[in-house]
Formats: sequence, structure tokens, C-alpha cells
Amino acid sequence: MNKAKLKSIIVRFSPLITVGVFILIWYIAAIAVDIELILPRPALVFKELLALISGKTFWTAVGGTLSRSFTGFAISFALAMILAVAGFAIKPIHRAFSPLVIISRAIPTMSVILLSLIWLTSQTSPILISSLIMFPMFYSDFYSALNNIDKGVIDMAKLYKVGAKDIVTRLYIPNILPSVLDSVRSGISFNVKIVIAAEVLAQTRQSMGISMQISRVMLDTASLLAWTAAAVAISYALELIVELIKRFAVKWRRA
Amino acid sequence: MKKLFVAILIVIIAAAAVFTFAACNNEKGSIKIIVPDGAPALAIAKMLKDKPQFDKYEITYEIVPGAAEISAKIANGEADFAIAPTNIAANIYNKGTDIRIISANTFGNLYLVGTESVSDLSDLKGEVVYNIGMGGTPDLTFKYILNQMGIEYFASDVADETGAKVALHYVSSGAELIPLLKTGNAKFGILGEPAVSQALKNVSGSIRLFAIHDLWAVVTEGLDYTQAVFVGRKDAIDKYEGIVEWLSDLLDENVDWIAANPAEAQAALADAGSTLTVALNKQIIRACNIGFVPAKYAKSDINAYLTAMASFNAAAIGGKMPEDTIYYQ
Repeated sequence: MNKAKLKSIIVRFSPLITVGVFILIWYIAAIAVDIELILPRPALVFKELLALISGKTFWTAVGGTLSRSFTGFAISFALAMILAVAGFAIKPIHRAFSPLVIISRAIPTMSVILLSLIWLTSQTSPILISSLIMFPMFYSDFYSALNNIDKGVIDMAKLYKVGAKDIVTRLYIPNILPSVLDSVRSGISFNVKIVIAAEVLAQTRQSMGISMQISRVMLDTASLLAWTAAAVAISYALELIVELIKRFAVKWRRA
Repeated sequence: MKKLFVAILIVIIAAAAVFTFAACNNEKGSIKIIVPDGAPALAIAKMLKDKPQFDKYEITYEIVPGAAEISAKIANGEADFAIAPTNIAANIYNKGTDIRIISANTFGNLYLVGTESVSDLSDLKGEVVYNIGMGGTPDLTFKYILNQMGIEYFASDVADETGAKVALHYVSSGAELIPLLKTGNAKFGILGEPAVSQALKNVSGSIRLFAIHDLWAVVTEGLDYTQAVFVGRKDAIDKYEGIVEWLSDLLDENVDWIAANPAEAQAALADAGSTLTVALNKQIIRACNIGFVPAKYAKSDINAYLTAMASFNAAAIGGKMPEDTIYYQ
């Protein structure tokens, strides 16, 4: 095996090597601490994870959390898109909405959570929390994506009397799509984290958040870490799906 | 190769750091006694105030935020003695930390509060009862009582229209339940003292309907509801001879002292960093149900309590019933 080939193999598998090193450090730390309650060994956590996956409650919890995540995501995405387009088309609208965006960006996550617990039910407050936190991020991403389109190209299109429908479908959408998908990609896993945190505090039935909380209350650290691993895997899978959509979309744009 | 070397070096450094960190926890020059914040802290209120010292050893008394800190500190040896929820004590023991239950110290501070009067628990069928913490001991206890009384229940925030079952719904703390009772969104809720007194004061028309420990006594034919216990690490008990008897006397003495001196007890807690904001009076202290029963006399009550908790989920007590050696003789 020559050196170049070895190097390419190392590069290709470097993420796996990192994961391996991480688990090794975890293992060494667990042996050093030697208290299951504080840091269980990786093997125990994986065993716990397998036991979780084979149970029915795991899937209802994951399903509940995902459906709340998607609802919150869809609300914030749609709202941000509509307002960004409106603000881009009519500047006074952007200025009028700017205080709302600033407030929703500055408002502490924890106070949104605590307030919504008083106002809403345990099933709906994670949705409100996720959409309130995701909205300003999406809005500023979408708005700047729209503003980054080369004005000259649009002026030229107008000059050549390209129809409004074509300007939207052939100029605007393809141009903002990559950055929209980028923010969707980073937002989608962040959103899952927020929903889980909200579920812990809202005591939402059939959720990953309450399952983690119950593990914590019972000092079942292995199961808490198993739920955490499951949450990481799900977030990663969601990001992967968005990445695939992005690749597909780029191909479509070129065609 | 150089890169591989660097990677190995990083692993070694990380491992060394972890070892040093772990070693730090094992060094202790003094005895440490910890207690979770809230009503259980009353069990050592006088000790927090007087800071009594045992023989030539230095003792520190500390309030920690909750049960998670109690278990971590007892397990890693940072603390030697603690007031702990009874199921947490069994949990720590079952997960391999050698501890002894020295005494039972709280006998139930949970109450069912309502904005409507009911004469019997079965009247709650067709109603929503709020509880603090899904899967926690207040939840498991109430379900156990309902089971024993043959009352059906289900988890929902909407009442059963047919009136056949009790709907159970959860909030994470009493602070969230009080506004719900006040706005009428909740009619019935289980709360722990002193949040109960706070609710009764703030929500007009609210009444204390049942004491959970009374319902417990009914379904267990007279057993005590041993909610929290005093535990000690076996190595500390052996190392400081006579300390258990000395501490037991102090805990026993504390029971009468807090009953007679609510204001001083409150000041002691506040000085030690408690976040308890309710003004304590004699009634509230009495409702907190602090007592002292040595482990050998409380054994059957504790065993019944642990069996009941484990009947829902063995994980609540750490997987299995602890052996009899957990009780200090």
C-alpha cells in the first residue's frame, strides 16, 4: 500500500476515527470515575439504547418529538418566508417588522419557555417555543439571501421583458435556494434540541424530553445518555436528508 | 505517522486530565453533610444554624439544589452524609455505592389541593388532577393509591367525559401549578409543602383536600409514608466512630426545635443559601411532616414504600429491592 493511498483512506475515515477516539476517551473517563451513576461505560449505554429502540414507547416518544419539531419548524419557516418576501418587495414592511425581529431574537429562550408554560398546554408550548426561536434566524437568513441577488441581472431580465413568473421561478428561487437550504440544514437539528428542552420543562407526554427527564429523576444516567445518543442520531439523519435534497436541488438548478 | 503520534498524545492528555479530576474528588479533609433545598432541608435546620462539630473533625453543612446533586456527591465521596429521597437512597446503593440508611426523616409533605370540595377520592373520576413531575415519586405514589383503591386513571389534559377515569396531567413544579389553579385551568393538583400553603394563600376558594400520607396509610394499612431518609457512606460511618449516634441525637433534637422556632428555622435555611421564599409558620412546619425514626424501626415502612415505587418501574429504586444491609443497625 503506498503512502498516498493510505492518506486517502485516513481522510475518508477521519470522522469515524474521531468518533472512535471520542468513545475511547469516554471509556477511559468512565473507568477512572468508576461510578455508573455519574458516567456509565459506553457499552452499557449502547445496551440501554438497543433496549430502548426495541421498545414501543421509544418510537411514540420520537414520533411525538418529531411531529412537534416539524410543526414548529413549518410555522417559523412559512412565517419567515412570507415576511422576508414581503419585506424585500416593500421596504417599509421590512422596517415595520424589524422591532419584532429584534425582540424575538433577543428574548431569552428560557423566558419564552417559562411564559408559554403558563399560557399554553404541555403539548402545544414546545411548538410555540420552537417557532419563536427559529423565526428570527430564518427571517434574517431569507431576507439577506433575497438581497444578495445581483440587482443587475434582475434589471437586465426586466429590460428584456422576461415575464414576472419567469423572474421568480428562474431567477429568485434558484438564487436563494442554496442559502435557504443551508439555513434549513443548520436549523433543523437546532430545532430538535429546542423542542426537547421545552418538553422537559413542559412535561410533555410521549416525548423524548420527558423520557430524558424521567431517566434523570430515576438517576438512570445510562438511559439518559442513550436518549441523548438517539437525539444526536435523529438530528444527524435530518441534516443528511436536507443535504440530499440540496444536492438534488442543485442538479435541478443546473438542468 | 507524526499525526498519529499527535492523536495518541491527545488521548493520553485527556485521560490524564480525567484521572486528576476524579482523584480530586476523593481527597477530603473534613466531614460533609448535604441536604436538598426545600422542605427536606428543615430536617437539619438547627444543624445548619449551629454548625455543631464532631470531636476534632470539621463538619460542613450544605444545601444543594436537588436530588441529582445529592446522588452525585454521595456517590463520588464528596459528601459523607445526606438527606435523600428514599428511592434515591436505594438507587445510590443499588448502583454500587455502599451507603446505610440511618433514619427516616420526612413523612410526607404532599397534599391534594382543590378549588372544589370532594369527599372521596373516587369523586375525582371525570376530573383532571395535576401533579408535579411525570414519573417522579409524587406521581408514582398517587397512581399507587389510585390502583389500591380501584380507581382507574389515564394520562391526559382532558377529563374523561364518561366520568369513569381520573385524568392525570403534569407540570414540572409547584410554581407552575399555582397560576393554573388561580386561572381555573386546573381544579385539582398535588403539591408539596410549602408550595401548598402558598397555593392556599394565593388561590381564593382553594382547600387542602387530602394529605397524601393519610391516603397512603389507608391503602397500606397504617404504614408511614417515608419520603426521605438520612444516609451515610459506609466508609465515613466506619471512619468516624460514634458519629451516627451523635448525628441521630441532633436530628431528633431538630424536630422539636423547628416546630417551636419556625422563624429561626427559616433564617437558618436562608443563611445556608436556600431559595425557599414562603414565610414559614408553625402550621406549615407541621404540614412538612419532619420527624425522626431510626432505620431499624422504619424498615418495614421504607420497604413497603420502595416496593410500591418499584411496582411501576424498577428503575425508580435502581433496578431491585436493596438488601437488608442498607439499614444501619
